[in-house]
Amino acid sequence: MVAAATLHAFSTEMLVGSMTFSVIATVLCLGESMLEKLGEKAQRGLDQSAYYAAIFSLCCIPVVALTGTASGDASASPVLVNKMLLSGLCLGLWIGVVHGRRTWGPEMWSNRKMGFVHTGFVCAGYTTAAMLGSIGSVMTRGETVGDLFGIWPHFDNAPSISFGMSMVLALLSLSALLVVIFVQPKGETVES
Amino acid sequence: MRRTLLLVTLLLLVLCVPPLSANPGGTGDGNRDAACGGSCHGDPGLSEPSSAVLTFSTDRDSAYVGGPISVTITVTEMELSSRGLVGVFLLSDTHGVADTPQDAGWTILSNGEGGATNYAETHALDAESGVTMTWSLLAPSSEGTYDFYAAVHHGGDGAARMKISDANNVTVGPVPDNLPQMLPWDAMTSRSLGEPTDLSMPVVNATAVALEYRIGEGPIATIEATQGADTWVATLPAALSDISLSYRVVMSNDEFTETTGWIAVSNEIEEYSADIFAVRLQSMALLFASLALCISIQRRMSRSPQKSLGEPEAALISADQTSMVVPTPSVEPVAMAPSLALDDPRRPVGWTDEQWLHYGPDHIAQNPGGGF
Repeated sequence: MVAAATLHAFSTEMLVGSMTFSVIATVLCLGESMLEKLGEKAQRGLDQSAYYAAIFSLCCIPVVALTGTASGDASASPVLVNKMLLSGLCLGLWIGVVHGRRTWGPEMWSNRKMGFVHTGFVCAGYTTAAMLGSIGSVMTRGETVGDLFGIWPHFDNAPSISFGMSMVLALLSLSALLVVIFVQPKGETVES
Repeated sequence: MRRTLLLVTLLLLVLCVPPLSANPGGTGDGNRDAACGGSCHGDPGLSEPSSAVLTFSTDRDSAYVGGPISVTITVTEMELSSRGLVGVFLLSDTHGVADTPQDAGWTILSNGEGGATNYAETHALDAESGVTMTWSLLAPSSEGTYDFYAAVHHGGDGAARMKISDANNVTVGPVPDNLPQMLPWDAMTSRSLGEPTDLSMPVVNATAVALEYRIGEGPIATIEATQGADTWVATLPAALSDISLSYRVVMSNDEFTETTGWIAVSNEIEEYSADIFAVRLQSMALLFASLALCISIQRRMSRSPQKSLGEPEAALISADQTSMVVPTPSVEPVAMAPSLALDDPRRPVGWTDEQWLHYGPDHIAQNPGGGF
């Protein structure tokens, strides 16, 4: 048998690799939409690459979260609690990234404002994933590359919220999501 | 050409990855054999020699069977990583298997770092002052000459490094008659903050037993122990903060006074505990909220400006609400009379403005041609 920690490391590498690829391709798309140096064909290729890499990394996130949960007792460590919280945030942001690209379509890069917003979501999701990886690195190796930046958080303390308040928060956020999905007018694909 | 340059650059970047490094954050204290059973420090392909100077000393020339002795290892002049982490071993052999002092029959009362293990990690401020660790031991139950080795694992200059000292002999001799002795004992090396600790010490051949303790390297305080059925009992005062406390046992009778080595006490910080279901709910809340934020912004931005302009604010809600609107009776459009100029030449003489505006259209209709 392979230990859950080993599977966690494997799936994390898959996730971070594909996510990094997606981020780089997205940033290049944004740059191309402003500078127009590479041509339409290259931009289309970058956009497709970013999209499918994002879908792949989205598939990896639940695997990473499950193997991570199986490889340690989160209730005994504030660092692991923070990992679980950031996992939820990362998954939400990354679903949003894939949803946005699917809704707006490949022509979204013709709208500079949309391009900036989409790239912003991609970078936010990736930063969250980088924080997760940084926490894992601190736990296993005692240090993180993030320390080079000087202001990288270590998440030694976790919020202490009761079960009842957590339930209220979950219900409120679920309500907000349902309102957005079923009440707000649906988005439209950007036409060229 | 550009592609070639790009590929060469990427390959160079791969080659630039430095051949680091074992466990820069350490692996924690523990009972370990020499080289941790072939860790990165012990792997000749990864490890490099250390320039450390290892100094071995004891608090007495020899020990009695079962008697106390303190062994001090000082490590200086080693390369240091930016963390300055150093792992020090007290070993009884260097074969890689069954190398701990316990394997040779010794009892470790304290490693000086708040534990009772043969390997402990600590941080060095600099290579010149180095690190010093003192183990408090009880000798084996059989006489003889025993070997001790000091070893160190550390990093520095981008490589894992290790060094093992030569053998140092310690003689364990016969117990003199009537020597006060500590029987095999699990010394207390950690306790909770704010709680005094009762220590039961299995001492034989003693007429008086005292517990000496100190904070850091401060003055020594003494507590007299009272004799119980089989043990001597003393109470160590509570620590109110995370201080560096150590204690030792002084056993005496008319002929001898025996003292154990200093035993360091670590403070157990209250363990963290979280409700895992609450954490999962919080994680889900973050997921839903961040997703709602993303979708909301995306949908709002993807609405075309024409549609947004043509809709009232309420139209942002897409539900069909026409059934809520109360129908109003339809009003037939009133045919508006064409406006009349006050200086119209068809205006009869003597009509006021009000008369002309009110009756003028009828007048014009009844008198086609102007009504003159």
